[in-house]
Amino acid sequence: MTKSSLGKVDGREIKKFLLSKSVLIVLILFAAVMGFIYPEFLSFSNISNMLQDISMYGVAACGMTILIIGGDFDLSASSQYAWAMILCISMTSIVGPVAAMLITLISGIVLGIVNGLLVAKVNLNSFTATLGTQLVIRGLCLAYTGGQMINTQNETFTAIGNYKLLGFSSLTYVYFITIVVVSFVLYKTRFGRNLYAVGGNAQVAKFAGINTSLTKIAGFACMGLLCAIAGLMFVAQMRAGSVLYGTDLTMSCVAATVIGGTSLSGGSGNVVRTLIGMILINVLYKALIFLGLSSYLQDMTKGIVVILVVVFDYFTSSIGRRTKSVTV
Amino acid sequence: MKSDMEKGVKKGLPGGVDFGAVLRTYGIVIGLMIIIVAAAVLEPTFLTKNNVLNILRNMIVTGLSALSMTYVFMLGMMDLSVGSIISLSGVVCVTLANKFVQTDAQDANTYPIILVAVLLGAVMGAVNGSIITLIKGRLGASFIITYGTQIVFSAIAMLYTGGNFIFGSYYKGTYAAFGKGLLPIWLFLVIAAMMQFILKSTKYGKSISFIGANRDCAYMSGLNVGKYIIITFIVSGICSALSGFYVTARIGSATPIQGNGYELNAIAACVVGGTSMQGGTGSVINTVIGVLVLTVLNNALNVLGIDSNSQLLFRGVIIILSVTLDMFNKKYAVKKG
Amino acid sequence: MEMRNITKAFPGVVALDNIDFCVEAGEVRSLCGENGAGKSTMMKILNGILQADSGAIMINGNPVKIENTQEAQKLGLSLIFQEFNLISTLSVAENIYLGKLTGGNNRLVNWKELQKKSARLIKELGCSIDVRRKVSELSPAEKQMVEIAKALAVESTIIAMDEPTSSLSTSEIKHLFTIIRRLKESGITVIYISHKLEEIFEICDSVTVMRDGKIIKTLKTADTNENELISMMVGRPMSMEFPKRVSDIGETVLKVNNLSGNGTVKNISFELHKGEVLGIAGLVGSGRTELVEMIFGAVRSDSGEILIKGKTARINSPRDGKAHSIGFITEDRKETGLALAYNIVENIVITKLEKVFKRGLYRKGDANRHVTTFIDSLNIKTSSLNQSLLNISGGNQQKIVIAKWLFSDAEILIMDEPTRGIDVGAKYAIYLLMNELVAQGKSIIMISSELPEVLGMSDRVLVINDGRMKGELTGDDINSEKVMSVALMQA
Repeated sequence: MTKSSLGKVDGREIKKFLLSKSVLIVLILFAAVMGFIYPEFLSFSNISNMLQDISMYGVAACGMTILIIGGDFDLSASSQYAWAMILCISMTSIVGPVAAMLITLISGIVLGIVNGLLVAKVNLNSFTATLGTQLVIRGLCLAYTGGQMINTQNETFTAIGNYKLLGFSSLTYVYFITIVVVSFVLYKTRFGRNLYAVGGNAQVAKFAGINTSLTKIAGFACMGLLCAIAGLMFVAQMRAGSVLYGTDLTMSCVAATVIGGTSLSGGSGNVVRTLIGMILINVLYKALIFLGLSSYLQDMTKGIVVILVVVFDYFTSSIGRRTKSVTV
Repeated sequence: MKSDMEKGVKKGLPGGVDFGAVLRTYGIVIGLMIIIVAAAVLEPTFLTKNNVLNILRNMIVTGLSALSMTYVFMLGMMDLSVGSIISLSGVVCVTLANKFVQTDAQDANTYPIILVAVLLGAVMGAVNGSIITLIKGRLGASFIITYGTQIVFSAIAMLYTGGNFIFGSYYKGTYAAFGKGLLPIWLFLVIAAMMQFILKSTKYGKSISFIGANRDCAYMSGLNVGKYIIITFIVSGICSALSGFYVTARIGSATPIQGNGYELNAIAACVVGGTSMQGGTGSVINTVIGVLVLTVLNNALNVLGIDSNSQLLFRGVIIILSVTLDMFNKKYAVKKG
Repeated sequence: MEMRNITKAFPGVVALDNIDFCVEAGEVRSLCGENGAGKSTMMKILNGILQADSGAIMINGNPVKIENTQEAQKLGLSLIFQEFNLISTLSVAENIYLGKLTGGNNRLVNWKELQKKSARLIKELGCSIDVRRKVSELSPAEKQMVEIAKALAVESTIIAMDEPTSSLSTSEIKHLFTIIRRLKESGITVIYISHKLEEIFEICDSVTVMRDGKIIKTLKTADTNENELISMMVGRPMSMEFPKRVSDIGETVLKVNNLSGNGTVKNISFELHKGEVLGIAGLVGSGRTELVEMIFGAVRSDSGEILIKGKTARINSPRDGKAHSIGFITEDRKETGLALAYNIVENIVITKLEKVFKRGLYRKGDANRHVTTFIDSLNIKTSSLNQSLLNISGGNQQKIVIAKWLFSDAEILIMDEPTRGIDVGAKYAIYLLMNELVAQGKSIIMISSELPEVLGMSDRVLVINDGRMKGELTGDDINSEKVMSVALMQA
């Protein structure tokens, strides 16, 4: 909590603090209500299942958050995710699971760098650049698999996927470790702080000697790596891969980031917020299922929630915006 | 701190005679020519009357929503709900046709159905525009809001049909006429010409261009920004709804997911055609050429027997190439001016 | 530091023509001249943002090459831009050490140490800003302090400040001067670029006048006066007087009753008359801009009423304001006043498009005709109607903004810092224009932080501080002492 320059903590500061944590508050309230109506909602197994469910998208969402902080988007996330699955499974039958995973991770970084070069060197808008790469990567996937699903029987993956520690799945641990590592990178490393600077105002960052191109490229590389990891996690759990999976990954990551409170204009935010966003979205889904809504109604609610969150964010943050004159 | 030059580069050149865009347009046209020639040489059936008509018809679906997407881009925003509006409008039209257009006598009922489609699209567009205006949103907000409405509209289409495919039981007469022959192509060209004219010579067109060029200045100059946002999204909704109707007229049936992905096509067409996502610069003519390029390319790849999977590759590469061209073009233009 | 034979040319214009410029340690040198004289080009070369075509730069007798901002910093050169070079989403501490968060022994960011070091710098400047706060929350004066701290953090020996006081109040300016004096004492050279002649005489040891890319002369401030400087700057004798005006003040056109809102405007009431220039003076942050924004409709008021020509007016948006014949020339013409990528015609006609549309169609000829009339009457320098505004000088840009509101037939013109960032010659032109407008029966509300301007141009002056109206001055009462004392009154 920041203090006003006089050193006193006044009411306005408290209001600001609460609002910045508003998403968390909504989550807690909502979970409490649901838990009251359906006690098993808050049961340990339910929670650990939920965490496992969100862990794959969650890892990718960390990457998206990194990019959004730096002022960019990656619309190719879905196709990178599918590509990672497909590459890993195909490589496993050739070079074995460990090498396959390594190759997949490297390919993720490479794809990320390609995106980064398009944005940083060719100077494309990240929307359009990743729009293009999404199609290209998707095309690659389809060309390779012919649209079919491929799978693997390899034991290593089964072992990883089924591994549980203290009741939590290994995937959940991967997610949490990712969050810790990414948070550390964002908070403590030069690269992380450079991201915030570049996202806040790229021109100023440049004048301060920050290599904006390198920072952006590295950001995209991280995203590529994390998407690859997410893909590997999927393989570990489902032992299959296809372009049909993860088509909504991109938007889910963006939604989680936005709902979590990270600003789309860049320069601020963190992955913990995105984690809360992901949990909130997931809790909402689960709630809808518990309430017995048809899957179409679930979808509709999801859409309405996204809209409501953005609107809510506008009205709550506009209190801090009050002093800005041009409001449109 | 952005230097003035940087801001200028981003927004492009003045909305008058845009030398850079003219150069760009010719470049795209040349590219188009190359594709056509290459395809014709490799596969003689490419230039048959049937195929050409096919291309022109395919152009219309993407084309209509790309036309309105041009307006949305000029404003500096995006509309991701286009595909879902195409789907929803399609299923509603066919359902209504199955009820009200069953005999030759009822043939004229086709027109009210078109009207219903227009109204439907207008309402959905109004929803989009109103929410965005409510939160005084810009590009990012329009992105997320229309993503949300896309999900909602899709879900509505699903609920409406129960997830099923709807077969049109009466597929002749006026309804089908809208899907056959040259009529729809002419209509599309007329609409495109009108929209270009509106963009360049009417108060509405000049206003949305200015809003895209500098939103804050437009507001402080007394422009009713909200009104223009809502109108533009309504136009987008109407064009998409008409597109949906056209699809059903052409194939005689509808599914709740038939429009999926068309928003990306529309965006790609605008981008390839040279309308900037930043707002304030662009033209309908450019977009039409963009649509043509994409459609011809698609068809050429089909005709040449390249599988649909690899086609995606091509499309992606084309988009990247064309936007790169655009960037270099802007750099060149800035050096001149 | 010495710059010798520096020449820099851009396509079509020679920005610097064989410049010789040198400063000593601990000297406070002013650099002044009209816009386009070459001051910012010179500073950019010194800072590595631009490279000279020919010539040499020497520091302490050693020739140096400055290829980018980093090298400039290493050599001890810092430039503080007029529009601050800060990242608003980051904290003060991060901004001060931007790009230098790690290095040397640290691979990782040591937040505690960072905050300690930056807090120390801030304290040395005599401020009490919490270094953890985001820069977006700071006032312009506080941001200025952060910029100076930035320069000190890299141990600069030569700090150039471009129009440092354009957003500062009088007391903040005094504080800045104290700091400059302290910098001087520690041997740091300050290059002070400003149009405000009274400041130059107060704080600078010497002054260099530039004109058209050439150095005209360097003098000790003690050896010269304002008029001489002005003549050197414009190349012709001119006195910094404000154009005389015979005021013909008529009935009340605007009446504001108990306007409050936004937390910044508290119960303000006043009147505006036809043919009058009403100046609004006050310290920065006093709520002046919010007040006029409420009158125009850009900001919602919570309570109070506005009467235009005796009738209550509901003004909830700039559209309403425009409909009531109010025009608003904003503080920041580049952000909210003009669409820089568009040309002069498109920028002017936007306020009343109906005038150039007949039966729904755009009439280019009519539009061009209107605009040409403005170009003539306002003496706007532009090479063609199609030219993008990017290449037009600040003074002319401002005239275009004014023309835009004249096009909408505004009777009440609100001008927020009308001559900010504009050179002396162009300022005078704007003052003449203002006189002409009120002579035609229009009314002007002028907000300005340049006291001489307020004093010289206003028929009446409202003094506002902390959102409240502290007083109203007329006639002989309009002088700086009275304004300051009224503003600071504890009533």
